Amino acid sequence: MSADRILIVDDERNLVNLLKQTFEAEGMQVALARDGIDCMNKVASFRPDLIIMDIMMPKLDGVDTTRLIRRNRSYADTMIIALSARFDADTRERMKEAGANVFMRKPFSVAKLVSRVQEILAARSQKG
Amino acid sequence: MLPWSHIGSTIDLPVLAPELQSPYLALLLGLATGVSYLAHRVFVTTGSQAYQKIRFLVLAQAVSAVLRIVETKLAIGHWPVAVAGHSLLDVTIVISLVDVMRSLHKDRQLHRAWFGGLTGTAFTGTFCGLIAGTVGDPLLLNNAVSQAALVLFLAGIGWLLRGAARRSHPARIQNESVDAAAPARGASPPAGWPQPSAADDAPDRRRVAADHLSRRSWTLEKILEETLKLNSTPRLAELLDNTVRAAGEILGFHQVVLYLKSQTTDTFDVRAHVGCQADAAGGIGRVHVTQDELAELIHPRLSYANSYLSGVTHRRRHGSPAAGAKNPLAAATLAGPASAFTATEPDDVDLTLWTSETRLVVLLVTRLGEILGFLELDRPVDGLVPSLLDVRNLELLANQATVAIESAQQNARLARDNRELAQAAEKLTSLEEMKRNFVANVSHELRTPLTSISAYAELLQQDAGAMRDEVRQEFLKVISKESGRLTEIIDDILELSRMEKGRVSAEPDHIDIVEPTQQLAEIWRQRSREHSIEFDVRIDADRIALKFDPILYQQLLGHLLSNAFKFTPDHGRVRLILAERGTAVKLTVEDSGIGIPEEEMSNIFDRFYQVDGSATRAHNGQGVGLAICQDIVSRHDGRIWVENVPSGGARFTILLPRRLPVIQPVVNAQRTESDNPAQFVTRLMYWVAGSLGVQLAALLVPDRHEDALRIRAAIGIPEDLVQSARISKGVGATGSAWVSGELLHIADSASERGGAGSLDDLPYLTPSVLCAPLIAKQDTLGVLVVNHRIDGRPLDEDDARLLEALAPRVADLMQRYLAYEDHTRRFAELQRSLRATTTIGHECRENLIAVCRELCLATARRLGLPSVEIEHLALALHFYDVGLSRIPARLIHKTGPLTADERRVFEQHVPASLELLAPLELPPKARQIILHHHERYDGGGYPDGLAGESIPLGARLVSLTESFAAMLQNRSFRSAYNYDEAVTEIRRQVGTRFCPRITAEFLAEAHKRRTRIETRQHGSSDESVFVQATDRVERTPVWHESG
Repeated sequence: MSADRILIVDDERNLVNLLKQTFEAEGMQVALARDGIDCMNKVASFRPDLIIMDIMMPKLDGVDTTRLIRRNRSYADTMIIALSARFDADTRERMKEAGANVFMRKPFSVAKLVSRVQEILAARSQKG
Repeated sequence: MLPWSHIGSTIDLPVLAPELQSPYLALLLGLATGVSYLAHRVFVTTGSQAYQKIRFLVLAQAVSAVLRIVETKLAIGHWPVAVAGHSLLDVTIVISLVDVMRSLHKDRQLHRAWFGGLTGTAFTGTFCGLIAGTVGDPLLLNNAVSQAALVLFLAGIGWLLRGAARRSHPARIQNESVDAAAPARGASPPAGWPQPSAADDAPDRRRVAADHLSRRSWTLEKILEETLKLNSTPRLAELLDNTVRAAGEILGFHQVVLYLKSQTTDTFDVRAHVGCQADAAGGIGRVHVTQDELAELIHPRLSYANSYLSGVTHRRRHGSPAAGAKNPLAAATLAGPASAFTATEPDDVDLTLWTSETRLVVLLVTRLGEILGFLELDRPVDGLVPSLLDVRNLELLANQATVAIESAQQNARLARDNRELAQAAEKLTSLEEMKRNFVANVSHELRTPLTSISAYAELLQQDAGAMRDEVRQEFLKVISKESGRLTEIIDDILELSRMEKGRVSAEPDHIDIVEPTQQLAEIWRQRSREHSIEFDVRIDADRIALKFDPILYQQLLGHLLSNAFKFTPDHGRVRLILAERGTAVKLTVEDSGIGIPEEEMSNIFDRFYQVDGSATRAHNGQGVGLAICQDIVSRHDGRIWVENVPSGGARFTILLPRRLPVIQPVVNAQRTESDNPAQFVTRLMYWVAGSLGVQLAALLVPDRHEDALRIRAAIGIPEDLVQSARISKGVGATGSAWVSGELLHIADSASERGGAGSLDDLPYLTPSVLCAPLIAKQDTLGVLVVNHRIDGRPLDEDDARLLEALAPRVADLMQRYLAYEDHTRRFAELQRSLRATTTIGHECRENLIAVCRELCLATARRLGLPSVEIEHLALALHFYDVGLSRIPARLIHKTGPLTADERRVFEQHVPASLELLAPLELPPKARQIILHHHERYDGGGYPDGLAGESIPLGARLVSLTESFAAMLQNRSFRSAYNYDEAVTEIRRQVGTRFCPRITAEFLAEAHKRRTRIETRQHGSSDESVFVQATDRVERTPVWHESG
């Protein structure tokens, strides 16, 4: 079984670096994207199994990016975790509608995020 | 009844000679066929006019009666052919009668007439039968009398029908009186009818009457229909258009204008019109009608039904002339209800022609009696004044329209209120949403650095032991950096909320902003060195005074600089420029960063307020600084905007007014002509004061005697002083500025006592004054004085420069205004002259000029001019040379001969006269006289070089009169001629300059007035400059040539 591929989409450089190190330490392949447009390119080239998606981003926000990804059938089994500091009911609802699988709040516990990612990936591979 | 009339035909009497039988029978058959054919024509072809039918019946019956009498005499009634002929006639008559009965049935009035006639005939028949019984030959008598009775009966019906028709159609039947009694005369059948005029006329009249009836019902139907339409039209403009259209269409008027009472002023304005010529649409009669003018239009004496008819002299044929006085509206109370009908009856037949002066005004009066407006109708289709009935119909429509207009206005008001409410509600919702968004955005802003901190802290905690030292150091560094960012954001937010709360807490003070700018720049210079950023600070003044809260200024600049440095990469460049620009201060901060994406431009200052729901972030890490900047700037009435620099990077520009716009209204002084000219100069002063930020501004102009200056307009000076203040030229600051023609700047009068530095008597509030002379095209128009800056500081060089720049513009505007004023004054003078003219002859002042005018008019009468033309001449005599007022005085008073150029200029006074007089709208004849009174009989005059009889007679007369009057007066270059000399001189020029025919008459009239002329010649001082001047020009060539 090849390593799980994770795409982290966020414009907070410090946070992204930390997550990259953490997931790579868990034996996963990690790619980074700064914003929604960047994310769309990386999705096509990197073909991630799971995307950790920020919402408030320059250019294209997380909601619209998720919607775009979901529009393409071939990414239907790509899991998307929304990770945002903006988690009012309205935003959560919109993210859910756009097609995110899980919503997590910022600030978050790194350990919890890692275990959650592993859970989701495991469930996905079982299903697949 | 018919069998009763033929009894005679069945009785045997003497026999017709056999040789006469055949021709008679042929005649009888021919007549019967003819009558049948006629019946067909009358009943089928011409429709079913009751008049025609009756007339035909009378004719047919008369023929029948004559035949029967003949037959009875000759005893041929029982012959089969004769019976057949009579049967044909009888059948025709019966059919006709049935038809008449049918049409009569429809009209109750005619019906009654029919039965009246029937009874009368039965009575007459019986009476005649009784007589026949007593006289021998009963059959003959019976036959003759019964036939005659029938004819009489039918004729009677015809007459009654006519009367009935007349009663029901009172109006619009022209030539009503013609032959009204013709059918009555038809009682003696063959004699009364064949008159061709009556026979041709009657059907037309009947058709008109029938048309009128149907028109009336059509009108009522249409009114009802339009009323329904009007009531379902919610939009006012459409409603008004429909009203005028309906009124025009239904009542037959080409032109209908609807005036509505203005919501703001007390006038009535044209709101809808139909049938006004396109070019006249701009000036449809009176575009505004004042209450007084309306009262004039609806004077009780003009009342017509409940409306008002003006411009008609002879109104009613019958009907009380005093009817108007009984009208309840007669009280002419504008708010009086127009309810009760007058006593005038609808058969108040009116056949008056509509003239160009005739106007019909129908008021739109609400149920509460308020006059909402009125309809003005003109140009009826048929050219006649409408009947009272028509006017009532119109009123019916107007009443309905009023109700509809009232409710439409109400609707419009309600709609407006609703719209305002909706807008207010929307604004509230939007505010609410903004608040929600603000909270969400702020919490996001706070959580973002917190996320990094907590994540790094978590890992530090977890792997504390295993972690390498440099990694731990790296982690701690991130945590501290993010904490710093968090603090920054919290500060920003606190600041923002403080400002939100304390909208009024800013305490602007007059500060110098150069120093704090430099201080702040120093702090940032440190950082620029650290990052090798080129920091370019340009401040183009040592001191810039600005009314600004000092703490807020530091915040503003701090945010802008921090923003610029944040986005400028190392080795980049930040530029700060502080400059004065006009009356504002311009602050520019420019960086060489990535610039701002186009789509962010619009909301970059509303970071926490975006309401579009988009979660797109502006630049990462951009704090609330720009929102704060925006707030600070707007609080000081300034403007902030951002643009991208072509070479890369963003440029923030702030424009701050140097002084608060205290003086309101600052007006756009360019809009001169359209506004009230009287306020113009005052507004100009406001404009100057607003531009300079001063509280006292005054314009001084030379007073009437030209030796002192008076205040033409001022602000900041008490009214009584404005009226009384006089400043001698050359005295004090203002007087000196007038004399020197140069701007005078007194920085502090206290230190510059004496000479030009001393102040004059104006109530200056501060010791520093600026006086600028207003010079337009080398003429000094006046002096502009400003004093008392709003900030209390002395007027400085900047102000002087600004005023220097403003002065030419003010001068230009002043000159335009003066020209306007001059024109207005001249117009007033013209009006006065016109008034004087109308009283000519009544209070003609006994001076030389007046005698000459009288002489001129007397000559005109002697020449047999019609009185209208004499009137025109009288008008022209007063005005012929007003154009000279446009000619430079040096030309008018020049003593030597004029050069060709000067002459050309001088001759321009003729078109100038006409131009000046244009507003008076003189009759064309009078204008002709004015135009041509400088023509010479030999064709050597101007402007058109007319000669002989082609010069209007009036113009020739004026020319003669003017010259004669001029000769009798003193001139600078010669003394006055005595009477004989003048006459000789006139005679000498007959044929060259003057018309021989009128000169003879003129001199004859002059001779009668010799004594009076000679008496006035030396005693009068009424020397018109016009006469003087024309005399000079007209005579000079002649004088010198003939010398």
